[in-house]
Amino acid sequence: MKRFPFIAAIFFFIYLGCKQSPGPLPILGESEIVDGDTIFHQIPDFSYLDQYGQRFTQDSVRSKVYVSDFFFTKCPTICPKMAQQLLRIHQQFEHNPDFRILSHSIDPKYDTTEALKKYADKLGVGDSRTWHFLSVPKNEISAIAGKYLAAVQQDSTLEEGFTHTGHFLLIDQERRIRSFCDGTKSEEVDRLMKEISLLLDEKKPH
Amino acid sequence: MYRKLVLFGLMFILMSACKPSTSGGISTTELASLHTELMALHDSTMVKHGVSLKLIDQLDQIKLSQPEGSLDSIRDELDRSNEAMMDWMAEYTDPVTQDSSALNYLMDQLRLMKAIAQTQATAISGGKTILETKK
Repeated sequence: MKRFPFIAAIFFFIYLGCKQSPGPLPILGESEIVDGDTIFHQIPDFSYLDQYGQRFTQDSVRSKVYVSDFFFTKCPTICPKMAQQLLRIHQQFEHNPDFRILSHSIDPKYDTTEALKKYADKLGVGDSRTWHFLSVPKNEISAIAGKYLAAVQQDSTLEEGFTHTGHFLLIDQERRIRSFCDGTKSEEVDRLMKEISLLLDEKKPH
Repeated sequence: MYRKLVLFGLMFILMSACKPSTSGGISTTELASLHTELMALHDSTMVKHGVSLKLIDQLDQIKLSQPEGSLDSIRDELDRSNEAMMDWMAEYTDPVTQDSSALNYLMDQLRLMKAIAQTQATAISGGKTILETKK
């Protein structure tokens, strides 16, 4: 009888040892081998104006984890749902200096700096330094959306139209796509939030 | 007699509750279904907006290697249909009333959206044909 706690302790440690901790998130998108090294799909350099009229570039997200989406302020259907879900993400991570949200507007004609600021104010994030609303020039929308949504298109039966899909993309510190979800579904966004925490805990690149 | 009156009253209340509500002679169900149809058409047109943008990029690539005037007209057509979509969204507002003016407004908007969707479909089809021939 005296041995019972000892045996129980042994089983407990075996259980802990066998329990699998969640592994690192996969790196999505097509990769290629160059000179023996794997080159992963990466978001290219960019330069857009944000809601403050300031230039926002790849350097603004250097060594940061970020969530990216595509929207337009006048969208009456899926964008308001996506904005509500992004607000949840913002609420949870807004004080983390290593995290950002990049919402790309696909309507440069109407989504001026002023319109984006007004939209951010309406959402209650007008002064946020975490959530940036970016105006993408018309001739760059297709290319940049294609780069972000490459992983989604690779993994699903998504139609060719990609700017109105409601997806959130999770990007790591080296601008690689690590996960995505349907930004209109709260249960999927719950999962993405756990993955954001995982990614923030991953070792930062040197 | 009293029982009959109560029964009649109950039936009247039940019938009133089951009847679709109307406002100014307009059925709210009719308004809601028109609104749903309009938004569904908006969503499908916006999905194709992405297709259209991609086609413009591809046509521009072809134009770099084979400068041709014929590409310009289809490119402009694609561009115009994209602009029309964005202009429609900037102008559109959900009706606040539920009367005949709301019904007329939604019907007008649906007509406009159908025309935009048609123009877009024609432009996309034209763009795809050109891409096929240039392959």
